[in-house]
Amino acid sequence: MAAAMLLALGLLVHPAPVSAYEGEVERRDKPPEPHVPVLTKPPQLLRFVEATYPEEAIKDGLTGEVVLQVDIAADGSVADAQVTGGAGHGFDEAALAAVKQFGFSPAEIDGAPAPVRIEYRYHFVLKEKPPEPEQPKPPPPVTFHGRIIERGSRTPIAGASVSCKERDEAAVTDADGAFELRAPAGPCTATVISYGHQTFTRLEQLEEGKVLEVTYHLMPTNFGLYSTVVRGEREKREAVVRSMEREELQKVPGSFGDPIRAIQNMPGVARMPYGAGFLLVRGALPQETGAYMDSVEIPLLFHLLGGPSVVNPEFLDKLDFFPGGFGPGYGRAIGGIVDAGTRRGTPTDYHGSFKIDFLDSAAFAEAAVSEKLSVAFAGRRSYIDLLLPHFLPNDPRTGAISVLPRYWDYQARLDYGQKGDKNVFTLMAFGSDDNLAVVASGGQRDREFALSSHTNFHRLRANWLWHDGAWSNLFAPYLGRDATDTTFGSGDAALGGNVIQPGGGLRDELAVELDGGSKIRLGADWALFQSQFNIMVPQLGEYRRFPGSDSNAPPEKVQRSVDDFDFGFYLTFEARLTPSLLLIPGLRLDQIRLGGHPKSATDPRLTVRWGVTEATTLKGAVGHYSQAPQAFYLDSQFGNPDLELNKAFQSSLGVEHKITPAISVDVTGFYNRRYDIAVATGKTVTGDDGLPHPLRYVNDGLGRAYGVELMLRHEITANFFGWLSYTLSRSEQRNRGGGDYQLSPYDQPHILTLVAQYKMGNGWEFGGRFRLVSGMPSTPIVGSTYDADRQGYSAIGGEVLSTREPTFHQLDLRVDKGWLFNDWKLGVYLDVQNVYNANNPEGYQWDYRYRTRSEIPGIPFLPTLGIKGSF
Amino acid sequence: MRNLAPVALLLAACTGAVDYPSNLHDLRIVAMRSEPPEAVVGMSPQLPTFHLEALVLDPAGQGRALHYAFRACPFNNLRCEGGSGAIDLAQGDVVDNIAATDFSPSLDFIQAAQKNDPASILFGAYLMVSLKVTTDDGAELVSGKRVVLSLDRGSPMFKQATKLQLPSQTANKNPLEPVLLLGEKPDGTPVAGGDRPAVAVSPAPTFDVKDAQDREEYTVIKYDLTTLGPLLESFDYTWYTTKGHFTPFGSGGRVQGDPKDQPTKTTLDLQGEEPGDFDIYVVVRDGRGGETWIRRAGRLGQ
Repeated sequence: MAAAMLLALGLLVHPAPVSAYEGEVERRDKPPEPHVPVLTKPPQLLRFVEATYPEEAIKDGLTGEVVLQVDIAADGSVADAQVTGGAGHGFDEAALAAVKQFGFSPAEIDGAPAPVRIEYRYHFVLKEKPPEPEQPKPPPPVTFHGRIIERGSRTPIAGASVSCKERDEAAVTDADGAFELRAPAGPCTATVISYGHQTFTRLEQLEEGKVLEVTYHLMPTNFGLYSTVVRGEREKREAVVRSMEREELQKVPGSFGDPIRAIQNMPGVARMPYGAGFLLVRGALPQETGAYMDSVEIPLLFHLLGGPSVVNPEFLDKLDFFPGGFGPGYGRAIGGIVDAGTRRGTPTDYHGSFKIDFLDSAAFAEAAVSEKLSVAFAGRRSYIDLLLPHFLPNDPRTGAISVLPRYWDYQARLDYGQKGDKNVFTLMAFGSDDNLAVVASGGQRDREFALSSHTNFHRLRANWLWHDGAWSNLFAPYLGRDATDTTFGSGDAALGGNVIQPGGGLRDELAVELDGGSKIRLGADWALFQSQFNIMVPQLGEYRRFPGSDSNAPPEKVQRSVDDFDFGFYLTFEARLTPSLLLIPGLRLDQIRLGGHPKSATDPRLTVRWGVTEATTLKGAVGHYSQAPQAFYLDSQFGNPDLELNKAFQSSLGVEHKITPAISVDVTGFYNRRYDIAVATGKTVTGDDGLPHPLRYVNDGLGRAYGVELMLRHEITANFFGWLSYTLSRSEQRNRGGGDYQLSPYDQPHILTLVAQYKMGNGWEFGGRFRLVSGMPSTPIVGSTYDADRQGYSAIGGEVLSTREPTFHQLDLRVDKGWLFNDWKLGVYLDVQNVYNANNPEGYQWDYRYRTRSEIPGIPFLPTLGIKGSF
Repeated sequence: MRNLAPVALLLAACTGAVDYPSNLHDLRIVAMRSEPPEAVVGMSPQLPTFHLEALVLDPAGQGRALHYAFRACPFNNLRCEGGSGAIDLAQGDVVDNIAATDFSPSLDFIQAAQKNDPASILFGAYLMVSLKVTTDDGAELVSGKRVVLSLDRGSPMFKQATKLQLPSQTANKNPLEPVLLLGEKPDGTPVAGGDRPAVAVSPAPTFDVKDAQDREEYTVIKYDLTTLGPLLESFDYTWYTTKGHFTPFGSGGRVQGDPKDQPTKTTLDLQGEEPGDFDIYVVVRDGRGGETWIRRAGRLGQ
């Protein structure tokens, strides 16, 4: 067909070569004058018209070149054209007709449009004729279709390749794992290939006129008892937040699949003696770290006596742990924050699991009721109260100690709406119950010692998440009831009582995203609880007894009803100043009315994150935090109504660096100062009336903690995850006016934790945790004095907290073995604590004269076997 | 058993003491008492004198000399250390297991104690008496006891200070020595052995204390300046023996909420002990500073 004109292209691309004196374009317009005009702008071909290739020439396979003289008018149109070098065979006429239709940009001489004449060469080049397109044949009928799903989890596999080895037929599965093949009748060795799964083959026989329907179960190349949830990395808005995903949470050795316990392996968290479940975060006391579940405050994270966390691991979606520097959305805590996020039930199909071990059994179920409605339930109940008595001593001389702990918890969640919907609703109920009875009896006892403790909480929470374009709002009211019942002794002589706290709260957060990635959040965080105390106490607090004596007055019944209203408001502005610089100033205001005593807090906070490079981010945070003392501390009889809020200033500065896509390192330094902490005085002071009054609590407590935290982390990949955390810190405290800072009783300068988990294939997984932690400070006992009034000895302490307990070190290992069946999977795990049986005394018990001491042993070599199944 | 295991271990560890407090086998200050335990002042200008006695035993000492030193102080420290105003009372040697002295606090001493303890106007001033016992071979023991000096509630000084209109109170008295039945029946039926009755390892001998008096009534002042009472004293009994040990769980103390139900029985565990003589001491405390003790001898037969 028609040829492309190389010269024309040259004109377009390289206009400069046009000249009156050289090259292929020659100017021949006017005779020379005294002023020599200059071509200041050559013409450019703007419209090219392809010449008609002569039929005869095509037939004969001829090519040719036609030279033409073209006169271009001042407006760029072709005024005239003549053939100056013909090629015959019809080429000349065709070229002339085409060139006359050309259009040029006006040429300029001495800067003004002017007519010019150029020479143009038109080349005729033959091209091969493309073949005629074939008419598409109708596809053969589908003869073979089915679904590809993963063995064990029944998860549809998308993107798998399905083919017949004997045919040139292949298909790829869709999001539901479905495929269709149109192979002709005959044998078909079906072959399924999918990344992360073992190749599957099976010989099928396709019959004429029939459709074969199959379901193939593919074996994962690496599998375990727990599913891996892969999500995009959440944008970080905090200076330090340790987030863990489901698989990490359930697999940490030594945590026994207990997600929240895994937090104790994070930087900044000190080791709590006796395996207790409290969190010691950056020098703060356990009660100064707030616990949340889906942003709803809960009174406790763990079941009694260091038991498992109060959330079924299957229900947990992720866990955010803020060792400090958390944003204004959280309040009522001056230490850290733990927020356990639950997950919605499966959006498709149904699933479930069960777990059985020596301590408790748990079950979990989830189902999609409709496209938008899903439900999930979980429950757990312990039976340690049935087993433990068999392990406790029962000596005829010393008697028996009966420890009967029992706990249960539940979660139920209903979700309506899907991600991306304008409105998404969630309703969730959860709660926990702990009961402990300790009875020492028998032997040569002349009386029985009895203690019982019953603690529970329940929450009913609703969530309405609305978003429209850049705007979104979360409206989350909740109701709750906490109760604690503690009794010492029995019958009429029993002491203790119950504290019931009914109430509720509301969280509402309105957010708008601005251009450039900035965001504004305005929120309300209200909590309204009433504490109803109904307790029997000895009348010791009301008068002074002689040392060593009991109260001879009958116990006194104390009834109080204390309203605790906390209206918190917060505002944050996530200012994305540049794509890599995020500045988040925020402010939280709390108006508190605690037992009729108004308190207020103004807590400004600031977080900065600056992505220095793609892989490196600098971060920092400063903030002020407030927390009300417990309601009873403000009681006029047993406390001090003038107590103010406990407060803290927190600051941190650090850097995150992604070494590889899977490996990252985080180094953060921190300095926290706690002040106005309510502390007991044990003093009696003379009041304005000249009479003595007990001064029970004052805001004289001061504390400070500073240090560096290191987190080297390998994210979850196909076979491996793990981290190394190290904290170097110092925690100190003193009372205002009470001299220099001294070490905090919980100070642990060095905390090293190494955690790793490896999938070895064929259902085997192996993990370990090693901990090396400084011993806590202790005060040496250098002697004793006999107190004749008490008929007992009082220890003589040496220099306060001048020595340390031995360094703690322990290795825990965990082995999982899983078996996959078509529709469910079964696993057995062995969790071994203290593999090399390190001697880690948790404390000492002195003889009655403080002359000799015996160790209170830590956890010995302790294997635990469990079974878990899921479908 | 997972994380509950340490708790069980801890509880189990609490049951295994070896050096029983009730077994007297080396140098011990067993008890201290003051006569009177409490003095009430304010109605007369006369200051009281307290006679102090301590029971000091040294079963393994083979009669070595025991030296004592009494010291008093107007502040709360069992060793009378770390404060100002402490005074030396007396020094000497322990004779017949008793160290004794008199203590007559001066007005300055009393005022210093009141200054150190603002609550003493309501509850009485605790005057600390410390006893140090030493031996020539370097052994040393220290014990402390409080004597109570109360301001008479009916005195003008008390009424002026507190505006409370209360009647005078009676000073606390030491308990009378109770009867310790060692094998005898409560009706006094004698047993073989006379002053040193014989007992056997099994069945384990049970001892009973028979009070020799009614307990005193008293009234306390509460911090809100109301009174609570009358309350009935409760006696606590602490048992000691030079052979075997008493059960560590049988304190002989009172039952909370029922002052009349005072367990007074306990059992002597003589398992593994060689036959021979032994002594038993019972220290009785009234919970208000009053204290006394009784000794009985016994013999473990073949």
